[in-house]
Order: sequence, then structure tokens, then C-alpha cells
Amino acid sequence: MATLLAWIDRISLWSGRLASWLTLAATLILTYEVVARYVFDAPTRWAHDTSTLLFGALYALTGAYALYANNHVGVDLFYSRLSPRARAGLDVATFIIFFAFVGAFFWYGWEFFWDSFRRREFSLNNPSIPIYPAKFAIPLGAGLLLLQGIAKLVRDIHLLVTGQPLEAAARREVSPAASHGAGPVVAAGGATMGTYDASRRGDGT
Amino acid sequence: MMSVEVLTLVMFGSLLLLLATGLPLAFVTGGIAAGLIAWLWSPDALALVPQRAWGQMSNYLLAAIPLFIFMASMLEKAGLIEELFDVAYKWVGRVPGGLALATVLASTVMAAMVGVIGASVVTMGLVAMPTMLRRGYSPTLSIGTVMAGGTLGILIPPSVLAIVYALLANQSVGELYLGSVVPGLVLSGLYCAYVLGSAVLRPETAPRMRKEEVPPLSERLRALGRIWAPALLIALVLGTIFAGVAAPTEAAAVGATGAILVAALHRRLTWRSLREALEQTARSTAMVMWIIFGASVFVAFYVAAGGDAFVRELMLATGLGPTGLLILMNVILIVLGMFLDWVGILYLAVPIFLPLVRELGFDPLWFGVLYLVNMQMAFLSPPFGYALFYVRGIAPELPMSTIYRAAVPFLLLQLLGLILVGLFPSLATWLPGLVYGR
Repeated sequence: MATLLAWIDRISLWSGRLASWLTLAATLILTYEVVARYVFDAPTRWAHDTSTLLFGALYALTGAYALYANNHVGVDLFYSRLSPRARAGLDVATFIIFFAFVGAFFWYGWEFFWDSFRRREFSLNNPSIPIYPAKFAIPLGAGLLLLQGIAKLVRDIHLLVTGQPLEAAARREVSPAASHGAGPVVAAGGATMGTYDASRRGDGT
Repeated sequence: MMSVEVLTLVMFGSLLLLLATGLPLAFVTGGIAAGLIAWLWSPDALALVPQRAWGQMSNYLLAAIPLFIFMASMLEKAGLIEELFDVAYKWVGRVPGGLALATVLASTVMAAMVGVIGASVVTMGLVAMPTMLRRGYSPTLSIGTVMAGGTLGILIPPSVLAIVYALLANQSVGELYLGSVVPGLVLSGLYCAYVLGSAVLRPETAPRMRKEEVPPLSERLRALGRIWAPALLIALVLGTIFAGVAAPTEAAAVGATGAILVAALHRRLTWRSLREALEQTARSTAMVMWIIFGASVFVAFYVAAGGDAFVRELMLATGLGPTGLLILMNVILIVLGMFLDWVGILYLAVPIFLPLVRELGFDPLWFGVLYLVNMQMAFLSPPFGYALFYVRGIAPELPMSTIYRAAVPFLLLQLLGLILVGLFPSLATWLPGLVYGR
């Protein structure tokens, strides 16, 4: 079981790491468009749609990564003051809410994508740009997020029932702070891994 | 189908209850909405969930969010924020409260480059805060200036908050940007005045630099020469937006590319720093966008059930005049700001408030700027404000009570700024009028 959960963690981490390069691609595409249009007066017909779709895919695909890295924010009035076991209990109880949303996202997202794929939906602005690959990011991203959510649920149930974390030592190796190597800030803030842990530092909002 | 009164109680009651369990906002809003849609409409109506999400995913303007986050992360890696602080300190160091002033000034310049607050608060917290503490500045003054200066990032253009607000309210981003310039500078000025005032009245909280420590003029001039990069980036990003040449998304992309180039010129561009900036961007963007996914379904369902009309009637039934309602709305926003983050408030409250705002005949531009100024407080107001937690993350040894106390004077200044913009709408409308001839 621990091996399976570690694999889910790895999938979330690497899907997020891979998807994060979409930002660079879209940034360069848009910059190219600006230069082409304003400097060379030769605007492209693909830059806007392509970059928007790349970003769209980024949003959907990184949900699991953010859950893995504990980046989704909640209102932390009492939560962080509870014992780990009580927190696990609350998280087990609220899983149904998480599941209602992400499950609907996944199930109806698949239909949404399939409908687009069947029609081979292309951009209205530029008929050579396909839309359906970006729509595929909806069920894929929701599926990854569900998987990570279920991994968390299994860990929470184990902690709730036994009072012991499922993987005491193994988890540390792939914990976000260790693997992102986020430099001096994490080193400074590493001790406070609460809901607002140091891996969120400088995270841009 | 339940009545809209009951539905309002159910939706917002369960929202409060579930938020208290610590479940992230994105899943709370999305989960409540999904459950109610399946129960009250039909399971197949849940097709709304991916449809609403796709509406955000395919939105060109929203792409400015990851771009501005990426730009800020890259500038942080490039060491530009430290450099700005260093230059500002060399120039105002001798003035009472010089270090704190330099923090506010550098944050203000930074705010004109990026549209988010995280990078400023964290970097200033790592660079300026320890310097101030070492020099005997009081912890509350040191922390307060770092936090308040950082929040300017989301008021002074370019700001992602203004972009998303403009999108929801169907307004021009350029006008909102111009409208928030003066209020942003007013707030920055208020912070500076407060720092100066407290440094003069209570010198022990901000010991002055000794005369022999003041860098010679030649060194100060040389330092000034190093700020060509920020100057160029501001000109690129803001210049193109204000000139109406490029859309905010394009300007943000150019700014992000510029930030990569600045990092390269500072010899800080490595695979590792690039990868870290991209991963940081992905995590923050995911957090923001999934809240938008969840909250937009929540609010779409509530509006479809007649919720916005209900809130409008409820507010009108208070018997308050337009001014009273305006104050009421702002108080509600301030209270929401204590608990929710900016995206959540934006997507939950604004679609419900806007019909009322239009009916009351307020200038939408003025209300928009008022909203942006109001949201400044959300970043700083206990118990839940991003700036507070960024500082907490940097300096875990600081008690939370000290951080809260540090925020209070600056919160009052923000409230003063809000009241000023409320009393003198021309603070918001003068500059856009000048440029766009409204």
C-alpha cells in the first residue's frame, strides 16, 4: 500500500513539474507574437489561441500537484491547532465534498472532452488549431486530482484508525520541501509546516 | 426546489461550516455547488462544472495570472528586489526611519513591475526585515512595513486583481489600472508618512543611520545607475498597457520574458532557478485557478437560483440610502477579507454585488477602484491574510501576536485610504479622465 501511495505522489509531482513548462512555452509564444506584430508588423494567427489553450491545460493539470504540495488554501481558524489524528478525522469526513466536486469535474469533464473530440472541434479563430487536446486536460487533471485525493484519504483513514501515520519515514523522501529544493526560505521556514507551509513562500498571489 | 431564502441559508451556512473544517476553499465551494446541483436540479446538470471551468481555461485575459506570477518569481530569482532595496536605502538611509522608508519605496517600485504580492513580501522579509531588526528597529515597524509595502503589489498596476475584477465586471482593464495609480501612491505616501512620524516621535523604534555610514554621493549615483532594469521593465509592461498597444496578457508575457533576461544579465539564470520559478508558478496558479473553478460554479448556481436578486432586495430592504449601502458592502468585503482570499471574495461577492452597484448608479470605475483598495486590507487583516502568513513562513520564531500587532497601524492606514477614495472619487477617476477623456 505504501508503495502504491508513493507512486501516486510521484505521479502528482511529476505531472505538475512537466506541466509547469507550459508556462514557459506560452510566455515565449506570446512574446514572439508581440515582437512579430509590433516590430515586424507581421502578426501570427495562432499565438493567442495556442497560448490560451496551453495555459488552460496548465490550470487543470496542476490541481493534483498543488494538493500534493499542500498549496490549496483553506481557512485555518482551528484546523492547525488540532492533533494530527483529529485533522485526519475531519479530512475523512469532508472527503465527500471534495469527491462531489472533483468527481463531477472528472465524469462530466470526460463527456465534455469526448463531445469535442468526436466533432474534432477546432478553434473558431484559426481552423488549424484543435481545441480537444486542451479539453482533455479537464478529465485528465481531475483524474490526477482524484487520485491524489484518494491517496490522502487512505493516509487519513490509517492515521485516524491506528493513530500512526501510514508511512513515517518514506513520506519524508518525497515531501515537497525536500524535493523542490526551494533554497534558503524553506530552510528558514521549514519548521512550520502548517497549512501555510514554507513551500508556499513567494507563491505569487 | 427550495425557496431562495432557504437556499441562501443552506449555501452560506454550509460554506462557513465546511470552511471551519479546514477543507480548501476550492473544494468547499465546488463541492457544495455540485451537491446542490445534483440534488435540486439533476445529476446531468453537473455538466455545468466542466463548462464553467472551460470558460475560465479558454479565457485569454486570465492567462495574465500565471504570467504575472511567473514574472514575479523570476524577478525574485534574479535578485532584483534586493537590488531595489539597496538603492532605495542608499538614498533615504539618513532620513529618520530610513530602512523602513526604503522598504516601502522599493516595494512601491516593485509593485509597478509585478501584479502580485508574494514575491515582494517574501524577498523584503528576507532582506529588509533582518537588516531592520539588526539595526534595532522595533519588530512591529519592521514587519509592518514589509507586509504593507508588499500588498501594494496588487493595487498599483499592473495587478492581477484588477484584471480579474475588470473581467467579471465587464470593464476596461486600462481604466481600472489608471484609476488605481493615484490611490496606490496615496497609500504608499501614507505608509511613508507613518514611518517618518513614528521614527521622529519614537526614535527608539527606528534608530537613525550614523553620519559616517552615509554612502558618498558617487556611490549613490552609481547605485542609481543599476536600476535601469526595473525602469525598463516598468516602461515595457505599463507603457504598453497604458498606450493601449498591448493587452495586459501580452504585456505580462513581455514582462516575464524581460524578467528572464534580467535574471540572465544578473547571472542568476540557471536551469534550476528557471525550473523552480516555473514550479512555483504552477503551484500558485493551480491554487488560484481551482478556487476560481469552484467558486464560479458556486456563484453560477446561486445566481441561477435568483440569489443575486434576493441579496439586492435584502440590501434595499435595509432602508439604507446609497451611501449607507456602499458602506455596508465595504464592511461585508472587509469581513470577508478577514477569512477568505482575494480570488474567493472576487468570485463569490462581486457577481452578487454588481447588479446592486449598477442600480444605485455608482460610477463603475470608482466602485472598482474602491474595491481594489478595500482588498488591500484582505491581505493584512487577521486572522487570515496572505501577507501575515508569508512573514510567518519566513520568520517562524516570531509569535503570531507580534505579526498581528504589526499589521494594525497599516490596516488603519488602508482604511483611511479607503475612506479617502470613498469621499473623493476624483482620486480614482481623475487620471483615467485625463487619459481616456471620460
